[in-house]
Amino acid sequence: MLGRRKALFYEKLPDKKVKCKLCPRNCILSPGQLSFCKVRKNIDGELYTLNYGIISALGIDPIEKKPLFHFYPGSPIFSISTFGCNFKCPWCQNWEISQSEPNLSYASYYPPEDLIKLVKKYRSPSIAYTYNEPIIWYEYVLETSKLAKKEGIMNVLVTNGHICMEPLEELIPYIDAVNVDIKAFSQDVYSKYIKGYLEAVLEAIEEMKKKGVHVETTYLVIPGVNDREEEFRKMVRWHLDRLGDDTPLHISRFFPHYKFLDTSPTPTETLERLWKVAQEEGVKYVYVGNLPGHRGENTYCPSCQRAVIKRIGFAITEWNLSEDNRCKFCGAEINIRGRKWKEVGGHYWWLFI
Amino acid sequence: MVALHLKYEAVRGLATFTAHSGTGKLHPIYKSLKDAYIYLTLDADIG
Repeated sequence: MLGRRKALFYEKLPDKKVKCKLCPRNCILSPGQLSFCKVRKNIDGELYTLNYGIISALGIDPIEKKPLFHFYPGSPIFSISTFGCNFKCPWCQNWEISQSEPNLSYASYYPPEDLIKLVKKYRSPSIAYTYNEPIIWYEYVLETSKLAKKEGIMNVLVTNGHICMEPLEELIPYIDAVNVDIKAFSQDVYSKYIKGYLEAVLEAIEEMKKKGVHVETTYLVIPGVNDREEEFRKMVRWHLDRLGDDTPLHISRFFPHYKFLDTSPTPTETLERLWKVAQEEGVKYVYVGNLPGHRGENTYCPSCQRAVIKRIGFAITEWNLSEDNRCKFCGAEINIRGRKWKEVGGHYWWLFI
Repeated sequence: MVALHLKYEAVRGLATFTAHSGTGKLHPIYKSLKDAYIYLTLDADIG
Protein backbone atom coordinates (compact mmCIF):
# COMPACT_ATOMS: atom_id res chain seq x y z
CA MET A 1 0.00 0.00 0.00
CA LEU A 2 1.43 3.37 -1.02
CA GLY A 3 2.65 5.46 1.87
CA ARG A 4 2.70 2.61 4.39
CA ARG A 5 6.10 1.71 5.79
CA LYS A 6 7.28 0.10 9.04
CA ALA A 7 8.04 2.90 11.46
CA LEU A 8 11.32 3.52 13.23
CA PHE A 9 11.57 4.23 16.96
CA TYR A 10 8.82 2.40 18.77
CA GLU A 11 8.50 -0.15 21.51
CA LYS A 12 6.28 -3.19 21.60
CA LEU A 13 4.09 -3.48 24.69
CA PRO A 14 1.86 -6.28 26.04
CA ASP A 15 -1.48 -6.94 24.31
CA LYS A 16 -0.07 -5.88 20.93
CA LYS A 17 0.10 -2.28 22.03
CA VAL A 18 2.96 -0.10 20.81
CA LYS A 19 4.63 3.01 22.19
CA CYS A 20 5.85 5.52 19.60
CA LYS A 21 9.20 6.98 20.60
CA LEU A 22 9.58 9.50 17.79
CA CYS A 23 8.22 12.58 19.53
CA PRO A 24 7.97 13.41 23.23
CA ARG A 25 4.26 12.76 23.16
CA ASN A 26 5.07 9.00 23.20
CA CYS A 27 1.65 7.83 22.01
CA ILE A 28 0.64 4.40 23.27
CA LEU A 29 -1.52 2.79 20.60
CA SER A 30 -3.76 -0.26 20.67
CA PRO A 31 -4.09 -2.36 17.51
CA GLY A 32 -5.92 -0.36 14.84
CA GLN A 33 -5.39 2.93 16.64
CA LEU A 34 -4.07 6.04 14.89
CA SER A 35 -1.49 8.29 16.54
CA PHE A 36 -2.10 11.86 17.70
CA CYS A 37 -0.28 13.09 14.57
CA LYS A 38 -2.68 11.06 12.38
CA VAL A 39 0.04 9.44 10.30
CA ARG A 40 1.26 6.52 12.41
CA LYS A 41 -0.82 3.47 13.13
CA ASN A 42 -0.66 0.30 15.14
CA ILE A 43 -1.30 -2.51 12.67
CA ASP A 44 -1.44 -5.84 14.43
CA GLY A 45 1.11 -4.90 17.07
CA GLU A 46 3.56 -3.13 14.75
CA LEU A 47 3.88 0.62 14.22
CA TYR A 48 3.58 1.89 10.66
CA THR A 49 3.98 5.30 9.11
CA LEU A 50 1.19 6.07 6.64
CA ASN A 51 2.60 9.13 4.86
CA TYR A 52 5.86 7.77 3.44
CA GLY A 53 6.44 9.61 0.14
CA ILE A 54 2.88 10.97 -0.02
CA ILE A 55 3.77 14.46 -1.17
CA SER A 56 0.98 16.97 -0.59
CA ALA A 57 2.84 20.04 -1.87
CA LEU A 58 5.97 20.55 -3.88
CA GLY A 59 7.52 23.75 -5.15
CA ILE A 60 10.68 25.80 -5.44
CA ASP A 61 10.75 28.63 -2.92
CA PRO A 62 13.35 31.26 -2.22
CA ILE A 63 15.33 30.09 0.83
CA GLU A 64 14.37 33.36 2.56
CA LYS A 65 10.82 32.06 2.77
CA LYS A 66 11.77 29.15 5.10
CA PRO A 67 12.88 31.62 6.60
CA LEU A 68 16.65 31.19 6.39
CA PHE A 69 18.43 34.53 5.92
CA HIS A 70 21.94 33.37 6.78
CA PHE A 71 22.21 30.16 4.75
CA TYR A 72 23.05 30.34 1.05
CA PRO A 73 21.18 33.63 0.65
CA GLY A 74 19.15 34.06 -2.52
CA SER A 75 19.19 30.36 -3.39
CA PRO A 76 16.15 28.39 -4.55
CA ILE A 77 15.07 25.53 -2.31
CA PHE A 78 13.01 22.54 -3.38
CA SER A 79 10.25 22.41 -0.77
CA ILE A 80 8.01 19.45 -0.01
CA SER A 81 5.40 18.36 2.49
CA THR A 82 3.17 15.42 3.38
CA PHE A 83 0.24 15.27 5.83
CA GLY A 84 -0.20 15.40 9.60
CA CYS A 85 1.39 17.12 12.59
CA ASN A 86 2.29 16.34 16.19
CA PHE A 87 0.95 19.75 17.26
CA LYS A 88 -2.56 21.16 17.14
CA CYS A 89 -1.93 24.88 16.74
CA PRO A 90 -5.35 26.45 16.15
CA TRP A 91 -3.71 29.23 14.08
CA CYS A 92 -1.91 26.86 11.68
CA GLN A 93 -1.38 28.41 8.24
CA ASN A 94 -1.27 24.98 6.56
CA TRP A 95 -4.00 23.26 8.54
CA GLU A 96 -5.53 21.63 5.45
CA ILE A 97 -2.51 19.34 5.25
CA SER A 98 -1.21 19.45 8.82
CA GLN A 99 -4.44 18.45 10.49
CA SER A 100 -5.55 15.73 8.12
CA GLU A 101 -4.72 12.13 7.40
CA PRO A 102 -2.72 11.22 4.27
CA ASN A 103 -4.93 11.50 1.21
CA LEU A 104 -3.67 10.44 -2.19
CA SER A 105 -6.49 12.29 -3.97
CA TYR A 106 -4.66 15.49 -3.09
CA ALA A 107 -1.12 14.22 -3.29
CA SER A 108 1.41 12.33 -5.39
CA TYR A 109 3.68 9.46 -4.46
CA TYR A 110 7.39 10.18 -4.82
CA PRO A 111 9.84 7.56 -3.60
CA PRO A 112 13.08 9.22 -2.42
CA GLU A 113 14.95 8.29 -5.63
CA ASP A 114 12.32 9.98 -7.81
CA LEU A 115 12.30 13.06 -5.66
CA ILE A 116 16.07 13.41 -5.87
CA LYS A 117 15.86 13.12 -9.68
CA LEU A 118 13.38 15.99 -9.71
CA VAL A 119 15.53 18.11 -7.42
CA LYS A 120 18.48 17.57 -9.74
CA LYS A 121 16.39 18.32 -12.82
CA TYR A 122 15.52 21.72 -11.39
CA ARG A 123 19.09 22.23 -10.17
CA SER A 124 18.08 23.08 -6.65
CA PRO A 125 21.01 23.08 -4.21
CA SER A 126 18.83 22.03 -1.30
CA ILE A 127 15.61 20.37 -0.16
CA ALA A 128 13.31 21.76 2.51
CA TYR A 129 11.13 19.39 4.47
CA THR A 130 8.49 21.91 5.38
CA TYR A 131 4.84 23.13 5.30
CA ASN A 132 3.71 20.31 7.60
CA GLU A 133 5.85 18.95 10.43
CA PRO A 134 8.74 16.88 8.98
CA ILE A 135 9.38 15.02 12.23
CA ILE A 136 6.27 12.95 11.69
CA TRP A 137 7.44 11.79 8.26
CA TYR A 138 10.76 10.94 9.79
CA GLU A 139 11.39 7.73 7.83
CA TYR A 140 11.02 9.53 4.49
CA VAL A 141 13.07 12.53 5.60
CA LEU A 142 15.88 10.27 6.83
CA GLU A 143 16.04 8.17 3.68
CA THR A 144 15.71 11.12 1.30
CA SER A 145 18.25 13.24 3.14
CA LYS A 146 20.78 10.39 3.03
CA LEU A 147 20.34 10.12 -0.74
CA ALA A 148 20.46 13.90 -1.14
CA LYS A 149 23.70 14.10 0.81
CA LYS A 150 25.30 11.54 -1.52
CA GLU A 151 24.32 13.74 -4.47
CA GLY A 152 25.71 16.89 -2.86
CA ILE A 153 22.25 18.32 -2.14
CA MET A 154 21.73 20.02 1.21
CA ASN A 155 18.85 19.25 3.58
CA VAL A 156 16.81 21.79 5.51
CA LEU A 157 14.16 21.19 8.16
CA VAL A 158 11.44 23.71 8.96
CA THR A 159 10.20 22.21 12.17
CA ASN A 160 8.50 22.65 15.52
CA GLY A 161 11.43 20.79 17.13
CA HIS A 162 9.20 18.36 19.03
CA ILE A 163 11.32 15.25 18.66
CA CYS A 164 12.95 12.72 20.98
CA MET A 165 16.71 12.78 21.29
CA GLU A 166 17.45 9.34 19.81
CA PRO A 167 15.77 9.91 16.42
CA LEU A 168 17.17 13.43 16.35
CA GLU A 169 20.73 12.16 16.80
CA GLU A 170 20.29 9.74 13.92
CA LEU A 171 19.00 12.48 11.62
CA ILE A 172 21.40 15.31 12.50
CA PRO A 173 24.37 14.09 10.38
CA TYR A 174 22.28 14.58 7.23
CA ILE A 175 20.77 17.96 8.11
CA ASP A 176 22.56 21.13 7.06
CA ALA A 177 20.20 23.82 8.31
CA VAL A 178 17.07 24.19 10.34
CA ASN A 179 14.52 26.81 11.21
CA VAL A 180 12.72 25.91 14.42
CA ASP A 181 9.53 27.65 15.40
CA ILE A 182 9.25 28.50 19.08
CA LYS A 183 5.49 28.87 19.46
CA ALA A 184 5.66 30.63 22.81
CA PHE A 185 7.94 30.72 25.80
CA SER A 186 5.43 29.30 28.20
CA GLN A 187 4.41 25.71 28.85
CA ASP A 188 0.89 27.01 29.49
CA VAL A 189 0.56 28.01 25.82
CA TYR A 190 2.10 24.71 24.72
CA SER A 191 -0.39 22.84 26.92
CA LYS A 192 -3.49 24.89 26.18
CA TYR A 193 -3.22 25.32 22.42
CA ILE A 194 -0.44 23.23 20.98
CA LYS A 195 -0.42 20.01 23.00
CA GLY A 196 3.34 19.72 23.23
CA TYR A 197 6.30 20.29 25.52
CA LEU A 198 8.36 23.48 25.31
CA GLU A 199 11.32 21.98 27.16
CA ALA A 200 11.70 19.20 24.60
CA VAL A 201 11.70 21.76 21.79
CA LEU A 202 14.40 23.85 23.46
CA GLU A 203 16.56 20.77 24.07
CA ALA A 204 16.27 19.74 20.43
CA ILE A 205 17.30 23.21 19.21
CA GLU A 206 20.30 23.26 21.53
CA GLU A 207 21.37 19.81 20.39
CA MET A 208 21.24 20.75 16.71
CA LYS A 209 23.21 23.91 17.36
CA LYS A 210 25.78 21.97 19.38
CA LYS A 211 26.20 19.44 16.57
CA GLY A 212 26.95 22.14 13.98
CA VAL A 213 23.61 22.40 12.17
CA HIS A 214 22.98 25.94 10.94
CA VAL A 215 20.13 27.13 13.20
CA GLU A 216 17.68 30.01 12.85
CA THR A 217 14.56 30.37 14.97
CA THR A 218 11.15 31.89 14.36
CA TYR A 219 8.71 33.40 16.84
CA LEU A 220 5.26 33.95 15.32
CA VAL A 221 3.68 36.74 17.35
CA ILE A 222 0.00 36.02 17.97
CA PRO A 223 -1.98 38.79 19.66
CA GLY A 224 -3.23 37.69 23.05
CA VAL A 225 -1.33 34.38 22.98
CA ASN A 226 2.41 35.03 23.09
CA ASP A 227 2.89 38.77 22.58
CA ARG A 228 3.72 39.72 26.17
CA GLU A 229 7.06 41.50 26.34
CA GLU A 230 8.08 39.70 29.52
CA GLU A 231 7.62 36.27 27.95
CA PHE A 232 9.38 37.31 24.77
CA ARG A 233 12.31 38.74 26.73
CA LYS A 234 12.71 35.40 28.55
CA MET A 235 12.84 33.65 25.19
CA VAL A 236 15.46 36.10 23.93
CA ARG A 237 17.61 35.53 27.02
CA TRP A 238 17.40 31.79 26.50
CA HIS A 239 18.35 32.35 22.84
CA LEU A 240 21.42 34.35 23.82
CA ASP A 241 22.47 31.93 26.52
CA ARG A 242 22.00 28.68 24.59
CA LEU A 243 22.28 29.58 20.90
CA GLY A 244 24.53 32.62 21.03
CA ASP A 245 24.13 36.20 19.91
CA ASP A 246 24.86 35.46 16.26
CA THR A 247 22.01 32.98 15.77
CA PRO A 248 19.33 34.69 13.65
CA LEU A 249 15.90 35.24 15.18
CA HIS A 250 12.81 35.88 13.04
CA ILE A 251 9.87 37.67 14.62
CA SER A 252 6.96 36.96 12.28
CA ARG A 253 3.64 38.62 11.75
CA PHE A 254 0.58 36.46 12.31
CA PHE A 255 -2.35 36.46 9.88
CA PRO A 256 -5.69 34.84 10.71
CA HIS A 257 -5.90 31.16 9.78
CA TYR A 258 -7.80 27.99 10.71
CA LYS A 259 -9.57 28.47 14.06
CA PHE A 260 -8.02 31.87 14.71
CA LEU A 261 -9.95 33.81 12.11
CA ASP A 262 -11.25 36.29 14.67
CA THR A 263 -7.80 37.31 15.85
CA SER A 264 -6.38 40.35 14.11
CA PRO A 265 -3.04 40.31 12.30
CA THR A 266 -0.18 41.27 14.59
CA PRO A 267 0.04 45.06 14.78
CA THR A 268 3.22 46.50 13.26
CA GLU A 269 3.90 48.31 16.56
CA THR A 270 4.00 45.00 18.46
CA LEU A 271 6.49 43.53 16.02
CA GLU A 272 8.65 46.64 16.20
CA ARG A 273 8.55 46.64 20.00
CA LEU A 274 9.70 43.01 20.18
CA TRP A 275 12.28 43.62 17.45
CA LYS A 276 13.76 46.34 19.65
CA VAL A 277 13.67 44.14 22.75
CA ALA A 278 15.70 41.44 21.00
CA GLN A 279 18.21 44.00 19.75
CA GLU A 280 18.50 45.65 23.18
CA GLU A 281 19.15 42.29 24.79
CA GLY A 282 21.99 41.69 22.33
CA VAL A 283 20.80 39.42 19.52
CA LYS A 284 22.83 40.52 16.51
CA TYR A 285 20.54 39.37 13.73
CA VAL A 286 16.85 39.98 14.40
CA TYR A 287 14.28 40.08 11.62
CA VAL A 288 10.70 41.16 11.20
CA GLY A 289 8.85 38.67 8.99
CA ASN A 290 5.67 38.80 6.89
CA LEU A 291 5.83 42.57 6.67
CA PRO A 292 7.26 43.15 3.19
CA GLY A 293 9.12 46.40 2.78
CA HIS A 294 9.86 46.83 6.51
CA ARG A 295 13.43 47.77 7.45
CA GLY A 296 13.46 44.83 9.85
CA GLU A 297 13.92 42.54 6.83
CA ASN A 298 17.46 43.80 6.31
CA THR A 299 20.67 42.45 7.80
CA TYR A 300 22.62 45.11 9.67
CA CYS A 301 26.30 44.84 10.45
CA PRO A 302 26.58 44.37 14.24
CA SER A 303 29.77 46.40 14.17
CA CYS A 304 29.00 49.52 12.06
CA GLN A 305 25.17 49.16 11.92
CA ARG A 306 25.06 49.67 8.14
CA ALA A 307 22.68 47.52 6.07
CA VAL A 308 24.78 44.75 4.57
CA ILE A 309 21.88 42.87 3.00
CA LYS A 310 18.69 44.64 1.98
CA ARG A 311 15.55 42.68 1.27
CA ILE A 312 11.99 43.19 0.17
CA GLY A 313 9.86 40.21 1.06
CA PHE A 314 11.91 37.18 0.13
CA ALA A 315 14.07 38.93 -2.45
CA ILE A 316 17.53 40.38 -1.92
CA THR A 317 17.72 43.91 -3.30
CA GLU A 318 21.17 44.97 -2.15
CA TRP A 319 24.28 43.01 -1.18
CA ASN A 320 27.11 44.71 0.69
CA LEU A 321 29.25 41.76 1.71
CA SER A 322 32.65 40.70 0.46
CA GLU A 323 33.35 37.28 -1.06
CA ASP A 324 34.17 35.95 2.42
CA ASN A 325 30.96 37.38 3.92
CA ARG A 326 32.48 40.41 5.61
CA CYS A 327 30.85 43.81 5.87
CA LYS A 328 31.91 45.87 2.86
CA PHE A 329 31.89 49.02 4.98
CA CYS A 330 33.91 48.01 8.05
CA GLY A 331 35.20 44.49 7.39
CA ALA A 332 33.38 42.84 10.30
CA GLU A 333 32.58 39.16 9.90
CA ILE A 334 28.88 38.41 9.33
CA ASN A 335 27.61 34.99 10.38
CA ILE A 336 26.45 33.66 7.02
CA ARG A 337 26.92 30.11 5.86
CA GLY A 338 27.52 29.78 2.13
CA ARG A 339 27.78 32.47 -0.47
CA LYS A 340 25.08 34.44 -2.19
CA TRP A 341 23.43 32.40 -4.90
CA LYS A 342 24.32 33.73 -8.32
CA GLU A 343 23.09 31.13 -10.76
CA VAL A 344 19.60 32.27 -11.63
CA GLY A 345 18.56 34.80 -9.07
CA GLY A 346 15.68 32.92 -7.52
CA HIS A 347 12.97 34.44 -9.66
CA TYR A 348 11.73 31.26 -11.25
CA TRP A 349 10.58 29.41 -8.16
CA TRP A 350 6.89 30.11 -8.72
CA LEU A 351 6.82 28.20 -12.03
CA PHE A 352 5.85 25.14 -10.02
CA ILE A 353 2.71 26.65 -8.56
CA MET B 1 3.39 28.65 3.79
CA VAL B 2 2.40 26.19 1.18
CA ALA B 3 1.34 27.76 -2.10
CA LEU B 4 -2.13 26.25 -2.18
CA HIS B 5 -3.18 29.11 0.04
CA LEU B 6 -2.57 31.62 -2.71
CA LYS B 7 -6.22 32.26 -3.44
CA TYR B 8 -7.03 32.88 0.18
CA GLU B 9 -4.08 35.20 0.48
CA ALA B 10 -5.43 37.35 -2.35
CA VAL B 11 -7.75 39.06 0.11
CA ARG B 12 -4.80 40.57 1.89
CA GLY B 13 -3.98 42.79 -1.09
CA LEU B 14 -0.40 43.39 -0.09
CA ALA B 15 1.07 43.26 -3.58
CA THR B 16 0.34 46.75 -4.78
CA PHE B 17 1.57 48.19 -1.50
CA THR B 18 5.21 47.23 -1.81
CA ALA B 19 5.57 46.01 -5.36
CA HIS B 20 4.86 49.49 -6.59
CA SER B 21 7.01 51.03 -3.91
CA GLY B 22 4.76 54.05 -3.67
CA THR B 23 5.69 55.24 -7.14
CA GLY B 24 2.97 53.61 -9.18
CA LYS B 25 5.64 51.63 -11.03
CA LEU B 26 6.59 48.01 -10.52
CA HIS B 27 9.68 47.70 -8.36
CA PRO B 28 12.59 46.65 -10.62
CA ILE B 29 13.34 43.51 -8.60
CA TYR B 30 10.11 41.95 -9.84
CA LYS B 31 9.84 40.70 -13.39
CA SER B 32 6.07 41.00 -13.52
CA LEU B 33 3.18 41.86 -11.29
CA LYS B 34 2.49 38.12 -10.96
CA ASP B 35 6.02 37.61 -9.71
CA ALA B 36 5.68 40.44 -7.21
CA TYR B 37 2.25 39.29 -6.17
CA ILE B 38 3.40 35.78 -5.31
CA TYR B 39 6.46 37.02 -3.48
CA LEU B 40 4.50 39.39 -1.32
CA THR B 41 1.35 37.49 -0.50
CA LEU B 42 2.73 34.29 0.95
CA ASP B 43 3.71 34.08 4.59
CA ALA B 44 7.05 32.60 5.49
CA ASP B 45 6.95 28.90 6.42
CA ILE B 46 6.27 27.93 10.00
CA GLY B 47 7.73 24.89 11.70
